Amino acid sequence: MKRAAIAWLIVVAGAAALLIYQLNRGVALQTDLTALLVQQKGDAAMRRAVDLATARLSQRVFVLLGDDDRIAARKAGASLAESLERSGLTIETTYLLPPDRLTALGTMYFPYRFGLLTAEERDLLQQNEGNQIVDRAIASVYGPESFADAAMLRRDPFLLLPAFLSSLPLPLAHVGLDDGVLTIRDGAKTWVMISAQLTGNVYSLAYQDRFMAIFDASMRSLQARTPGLEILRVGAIFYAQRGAKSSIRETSVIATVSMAGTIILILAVFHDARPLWLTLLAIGVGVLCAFSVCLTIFGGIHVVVLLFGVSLIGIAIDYCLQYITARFGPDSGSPHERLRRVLPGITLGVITTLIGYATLMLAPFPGLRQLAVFSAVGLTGSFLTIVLWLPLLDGDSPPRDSARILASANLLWAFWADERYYRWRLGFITVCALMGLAGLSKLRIDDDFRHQQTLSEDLRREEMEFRRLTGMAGGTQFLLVRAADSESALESEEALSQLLRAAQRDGALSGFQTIAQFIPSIERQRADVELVQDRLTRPYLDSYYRRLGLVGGMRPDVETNHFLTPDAIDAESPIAFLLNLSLESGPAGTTQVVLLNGVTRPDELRRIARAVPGVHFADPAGEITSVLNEYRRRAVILIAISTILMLPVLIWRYGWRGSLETLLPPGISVLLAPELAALAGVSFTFFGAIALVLVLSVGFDYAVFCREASPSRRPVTMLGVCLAMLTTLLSFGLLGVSRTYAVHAFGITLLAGTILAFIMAPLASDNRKTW
Amino acid sequence: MRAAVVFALVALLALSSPVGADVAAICPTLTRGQTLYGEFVQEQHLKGLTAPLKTEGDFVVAPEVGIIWRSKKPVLSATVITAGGMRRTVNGNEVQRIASAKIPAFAHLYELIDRAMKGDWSAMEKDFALEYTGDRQAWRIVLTPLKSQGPLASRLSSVVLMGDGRIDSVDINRATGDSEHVAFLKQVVSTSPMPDADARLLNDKWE
Repeated sequence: MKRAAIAWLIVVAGAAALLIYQLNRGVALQTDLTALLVQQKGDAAMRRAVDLATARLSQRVFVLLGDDDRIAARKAGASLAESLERSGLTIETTYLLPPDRLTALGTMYFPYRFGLLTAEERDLLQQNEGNQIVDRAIASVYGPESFADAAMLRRDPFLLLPAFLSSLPLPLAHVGLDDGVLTIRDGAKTWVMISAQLTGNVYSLAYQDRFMAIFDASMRSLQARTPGLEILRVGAIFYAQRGAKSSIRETSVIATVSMAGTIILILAVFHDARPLWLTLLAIGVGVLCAFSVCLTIFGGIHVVVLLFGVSLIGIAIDYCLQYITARFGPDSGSPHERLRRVLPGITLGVITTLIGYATLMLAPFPGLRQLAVFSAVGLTGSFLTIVLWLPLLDGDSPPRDSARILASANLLWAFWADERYYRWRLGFITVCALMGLAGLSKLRIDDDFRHQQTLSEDLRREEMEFRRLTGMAGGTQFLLVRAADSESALESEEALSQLLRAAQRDGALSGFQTIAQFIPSIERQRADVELVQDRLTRPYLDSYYRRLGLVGGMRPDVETNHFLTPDAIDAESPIAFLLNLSLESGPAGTTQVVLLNGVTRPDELRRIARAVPGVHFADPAGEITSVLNEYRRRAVILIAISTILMLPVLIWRYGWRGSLETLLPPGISVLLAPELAALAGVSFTFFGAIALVLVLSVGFDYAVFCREASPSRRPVTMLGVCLAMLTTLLSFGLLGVSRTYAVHAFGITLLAGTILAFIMAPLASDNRKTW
Repeated sequence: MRAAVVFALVALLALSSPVGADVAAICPTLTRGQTLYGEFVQEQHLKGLTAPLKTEGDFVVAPEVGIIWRSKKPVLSATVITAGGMRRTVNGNEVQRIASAKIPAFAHLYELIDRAMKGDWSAMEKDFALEYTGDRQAWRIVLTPLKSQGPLASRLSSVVLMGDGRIDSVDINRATGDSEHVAFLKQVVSTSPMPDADARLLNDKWE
C-alpha cells in the first residue's frame, strides 16, 4: 500500500512539473464560445474576419444627451466629445461636423456625378424612361424651393448628384444634422448624439474600468452643470461592465457563503479540521492532474471546460466523505480497515461516474471531448488520492457524541423502511408525481443565447428609448464579403444589395449598409456613365436646355474615364464610419462587412449569403445559440447512453433486479429535476443538461453507497451521503440564487435533482421489503 | 432654397384688418381651422437664361396643417410641405421626399412660417431684420438675414413682401444675384373642410 502511495506521489509530482512547464510556456485559455463548435476546414480566415468584425462592432459607443434647452444640450455634447477624445481610449469620436466637411463630401463626389445613379434612376434609364428624370429636374428647377442656378444646370443638368446624396442610406432614420451636430427633436427636447469607436477590448476588466472612470466623471460634471440633462447610452462596453461588476459581486458572495457553510458543516459534524484539508487535497490533486493532462493533449483549455470540469471533479467529495464518515460508530477501526469497508461502494461509484463522463467523448464536439478528458482524469486522480493517501494521513480519533448524529442520519432510512411512515411515503410519491406533471406542462426548452445572460434593466431601458428616438434597428448580425480585391468586393456587394433590397421589401430585415452604396464599383460607375450618356444626355439634353432657355450648352467638366474608389474617404469625412466596414485590404484579398439592421428572418439572410460567392452570414448570437442547442441535445442523449453503459457493471454486482433497484433513485431524479426546475420558472437549457450529468453521477453514488451498506453500517453510510448532498448543495445549489440566467438554471436543476437523489437513495438498498 | 417658399407663403397670409404699426398689425393672419386657397404666377430670373422661368398653378395654405403648392405648367407637379417634411410628385409619381427629421433647419423654418401665419412674428425676428412701411391698405415688408455669415445669408440677400390688405406679391433676391417674383391671385379664405384630395396630400404619414 505504501509503495503504491509513493508511486502515486511520483506521478502527481510529474503532473505538477508538467503543469508548471505548460504554464510557463503560457496557457492558451480559450474564451470564444463558438470555438466549442465543430470547425469546418478552411474556415479559419473567415472565423478570424468574423471575430475582427464582431470586436469592431462591439467597440462602438453611442450617447444621446437631451435637454429642453438646445444650447445646453449642445454644450454638454461638445464637452463629452472632448473628454472622450482626450481620454485616448477612442480612435474616432464624432460630434460636430463642421460645414466644410460636408462641403468636402460634396466635393469628393462632384467630379464623378455622371456615374452615381440611385437604384430608381438606373431602373428608369434601363427601361428607357429617362423622360421621368427630365420631368423631375424641371419640377425641381421650377419648384418653390428651387436651389438651382444656371451654373449648376450646366454642370449637373439633371440634378443627379443631389438625388444621389439624398438617397445615401444613413443609419439613423430620425436623426438629422442641425448646425453640424447630429440632432433629434422630440417634443420640447433636443437630443444631440455623440458616437465613438473604442480602442480596447470592451470585455477586458481593466479597459472597462479606465473607460468608465472617464465616462462617469464626465457624466457627473455634465449633470452638475445641467441638472435636467438626460443621458441615453448604447454600447457593448456598458453592458459588459455592468455584467462584470454584478457577477463579480455575486460570485464573491456565493463563494464566501459556500465556503463558510462547508467549513461550518464539516467542523460541526467532525469537531476536527482534518476532514476539511483531506477533502481539499483529494480534489486539488484531481484538478492538477486534469489540468496538466488536458494542456498536454489539447495544447490549451476552454474556459467553459475549466468551469464545468472543476464542478464534475468536485463530485470526488462524495467518495472522500464516505471514507471520512467511516470513522463514526463504535467499530470504526484503523484508517485502512475503514477504507476497506467503503472501498467497494466508492469504487463502484467512481466506475459508474467515469462511464458517465467518458460518454461525453462520444459527442463530435471539441468542447465535450475536452470536458470528458478533464473530468475523467481529474476524478481518477482524486479517487487514487483518497484510496492511496488518505488512510496514511488520517488519524484514529473517533469523534464524540457520534450516536446522536448517527441516529439523526438514520431517519431517512427509517422513512423508507419503517411501517409507521407508510402513509408519508405514499404522500411523498403522490406529491412528486403531481409536481412532475405540473412541471411537465410548464417545461420549456430555450437555447437562445441572449436569454442565458441577464442584462442590466436600466441599460436595456436606455437602449429602447435610444432606438425609439433614433430609429436605429438593433441586431448583431452582419455579412462578410471576401474577394480578390476591393473592386470585386464592391461588385459582390452590389449583387448582394439587389437581393437584400428584395428581402427588405419582404420584411426579412429593416435595412443594411454597404460600402458600395456610398462608393459604387468602377464597373457600375462605368455602366452608369454610359447609361446617362446614351439614355439621358443624348436623347433629352438639347430639348431640356431649350425648354429652360439655357444657351451655351453643357459644361460637364468631368473626365469620364476617372472613377471614385474607397481610398477617397479620409478619416475626417462625414462617411468615415465606412472605414470600419473594411476589415482588410491587401495582396491576400479584401474583406468587407455589410451591416444588417432589424433582421427578422436569419434563414432568408443565410440563403442570400449562399447565393453570392464569397459572402458569409455571421450571426454571433445565433451561432452561440446553435452551439447551446447542439450541446444540450447531445448531453441529453449522452445521459441516456451512459445510463445504459453503467448497467453491465451494476448487473455484474447486483444482478438484473438489483441493478434496476439501484437505477431507480438516480433515474427518477434525472427525469424529475427539469420539471421541478420548470415549476421555479427555469427553462431547460444546456446548462440544465450539464446539471443532469452531475445529478446522474451523484444519484448513482448515493444509490450505490446505500446498496453496499451492511445493515449495521447504514447510519454511517447515510451520514456520508447526507454530508455529500449538503456540500453539493452548498457549492452548486447556491448557484440557483445567481442572477445570471445560465448559472441560475444550472443551480436550480442541480438543487432539485440532488435533493431528490438523496431522499430516494435508500430505495436502492436490497432489503427494504416493507411495502 | 426653401426660404423662398417660406417667404412666399408667409406673404400669403392675407386677411383681417390690422390697425397699428407693428408687422403683426399690418400683415394679415390666418387662424387654425381656416384655409387659404389661391393661384400664383412665379417667375425666376436666373442669370445665363434667355428668359425667366415662368410657372403657374394654385396653392392651399392651412395653419398647423401644411401647404400645397401645385404647378400646372411646364410640368404637372405638387409640392407638399408639412411639419413632417417635404414631398414632391411629378405627374402623380413621388420623385422626392425629405423628412424634416433629417434637416432640422427645415423644421425650424416651417415653425417660423406657421407662427407668422398666425400673427406671431417673434420667431421670425430672431433670424431676420424686419423693415416695414405703409398702412394696411398698402404696405411693404423687407426681410434681411440677420447673420451675415449664416446659411440663410449665403443663399438669400433679401425678401420683399407687398400687399394691400392681402399679400399681392413677394420678391426674393438670392445671394447669387438671381431673383424670383411671385404674384398671388384669386385668394379665398374658407372655414369649411378642405377637399378630400388635398386633405389626403397633407395627411401623409412620415414614419
